Amino acid sequence: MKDVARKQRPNDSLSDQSGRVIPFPEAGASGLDDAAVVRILRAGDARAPRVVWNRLAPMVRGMLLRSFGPEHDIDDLIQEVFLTLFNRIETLREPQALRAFVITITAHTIRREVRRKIASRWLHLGTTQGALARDADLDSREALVRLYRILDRLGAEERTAFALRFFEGLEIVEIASALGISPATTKRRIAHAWTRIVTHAQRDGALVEYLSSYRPEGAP
Amino acid sequence: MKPQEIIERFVDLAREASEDRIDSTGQAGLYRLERALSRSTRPSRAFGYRVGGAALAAALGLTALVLVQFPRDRALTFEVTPSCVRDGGYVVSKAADGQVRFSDHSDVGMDRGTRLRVSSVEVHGAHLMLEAGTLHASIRPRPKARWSIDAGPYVVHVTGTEFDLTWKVELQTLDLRLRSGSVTVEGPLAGGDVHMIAGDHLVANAGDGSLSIVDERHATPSQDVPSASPKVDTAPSGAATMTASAPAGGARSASAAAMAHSSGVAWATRVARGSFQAVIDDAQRQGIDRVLTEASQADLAALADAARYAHSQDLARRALGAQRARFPGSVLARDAAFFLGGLAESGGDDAGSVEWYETYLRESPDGAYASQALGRKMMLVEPIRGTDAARTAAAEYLRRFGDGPYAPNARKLLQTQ
Repeated sequence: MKDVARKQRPNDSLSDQSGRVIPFPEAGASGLDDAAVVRILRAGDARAPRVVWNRLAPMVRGMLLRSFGPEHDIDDLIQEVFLTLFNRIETLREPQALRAFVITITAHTIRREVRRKIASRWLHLGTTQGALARDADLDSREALVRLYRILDRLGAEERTAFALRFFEGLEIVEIASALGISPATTKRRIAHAWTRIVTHAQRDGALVEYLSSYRPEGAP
Repeated sequence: MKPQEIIERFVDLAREASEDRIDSTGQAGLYRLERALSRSTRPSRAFGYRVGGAALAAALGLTALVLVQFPRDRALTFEVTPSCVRDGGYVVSKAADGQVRFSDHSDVGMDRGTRLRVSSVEVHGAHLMLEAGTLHASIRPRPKARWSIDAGPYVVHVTGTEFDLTWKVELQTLDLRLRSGSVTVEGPLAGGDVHMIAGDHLVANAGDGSLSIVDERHATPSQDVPSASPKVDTAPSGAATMTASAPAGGARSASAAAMAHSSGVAWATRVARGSFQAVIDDAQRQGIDRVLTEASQADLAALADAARYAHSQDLARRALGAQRARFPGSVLARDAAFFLGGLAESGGDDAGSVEWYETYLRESPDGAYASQALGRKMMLVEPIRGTDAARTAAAEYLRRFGDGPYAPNARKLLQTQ
């Protein structure tokens, strides 16, 4: 999804306050619309877990994977998102906004997990980071690992806001809404994350060299 | 290498490595989810902590972990989304789905424009003050849970329950619908405190001391509370009322507010539950013209909401028009102008939209939607009336709502030469 939004700088102006449902790729073969899915969720229909999973799990998995990188186990987090969805579905006012609701739950899960990671680092209970590859041997996975370790230096709010903005292409107001913070604060968090990521990346000569020569698949 | 390129390539790398798809391994998650749901318990999170090494280090680590992640003896915390929270826990819901979420998984949803103060939070609960508007509370049952909500002169004491609570300052009316659990309501109520159980719907008016309680589970009138005032059910909905004889010891007044609806559940409740189409279907069964001319004010508002949420814009417009025509001057009629502005805007009629927003601002200069109305007007008025008009609106917006959501746009407009 190469939209324009994610290419914008963090100080983009705020043009509208209305919430939008983000057009993530449709998944699953079910012909039900989101409102119908919400109805079967609320009714406790036995089909609900499968329908909801097939429809939304790819999106949730993608968001979590992009937020935490290849080294992080996200299976538990996916479960957490869906259990929260089932527990909170009664609080969803507008059934058409199911996807936005799930994005909000996922955003909160990401933020909570980042906080947990920070806390576990502080307590020295987390897994120790493996040695990085030699500078000259960077491949895409190693580059990615290095980049996510830079992300690991950010605070929970900054990292989550950055991920939602650049990985998911959400608008500032949507991120603010999902995280429960003001658009101005959101912009500050993203700008701060942007600066820190760039600063740390630029200190890693091999990483910069890799990124300079990197071309995404399908690029001319 | 430019900073922009670093970020772009990072994003491209991340996206390449994480397609939005679920493979066979991921499908195992579905079975895990189904098992977890069938047990109705949350699965334990594999935190991945390795508590190896010395026993002392492990004990210290676990203790610290408990302090960090399971602060059982700490006061609850809360977060507000997508509304804004100000000093002293003052929350103003600017969106239709504002929510205050507490760390014990209790949450309080707020209708747009609702003003709530989180006065204090404790280990086992919190004290909230509903200044005006409607909230939808889901309080998690816990041992020793102690929650209370002030609404005008009333206090609702809660242990663990779900309910919808409205406090209308202008009408001095408390409206409490209990969906599960039980609560006690304290205040200027006839006959002292009132204990409510699931399905009860209480409407109390502090102005004239009237009170009604309807058992909505069966949609039949319940008993009568002994009251100094013989008047019953002055609910602002203006719905039909009736009085039942009072069995011994019971004594409640009664209302047939919900009886006009086929399901026995009030339309406002069904809208709150998201059953928009059901409300529209109900209205169609009764005849839209008849509903628009005969329905209570609350039902008209609920029908308009349902139609707006279900994207039946014509019906929403008619219901809002009926609201203004039949109940001119009322809060709901004034609010209808704001919603009509929104409908006009979404229909591409920017000029009409601006006129409705101006009507709302004229009728309700300090109304719940004043900030939104002025903000939207500011955004729309430039191509219609020119830059000067937009700048005037921007200056007014900043003067009145300097930290509002449209403030950045207002500043930008004022900076434009």
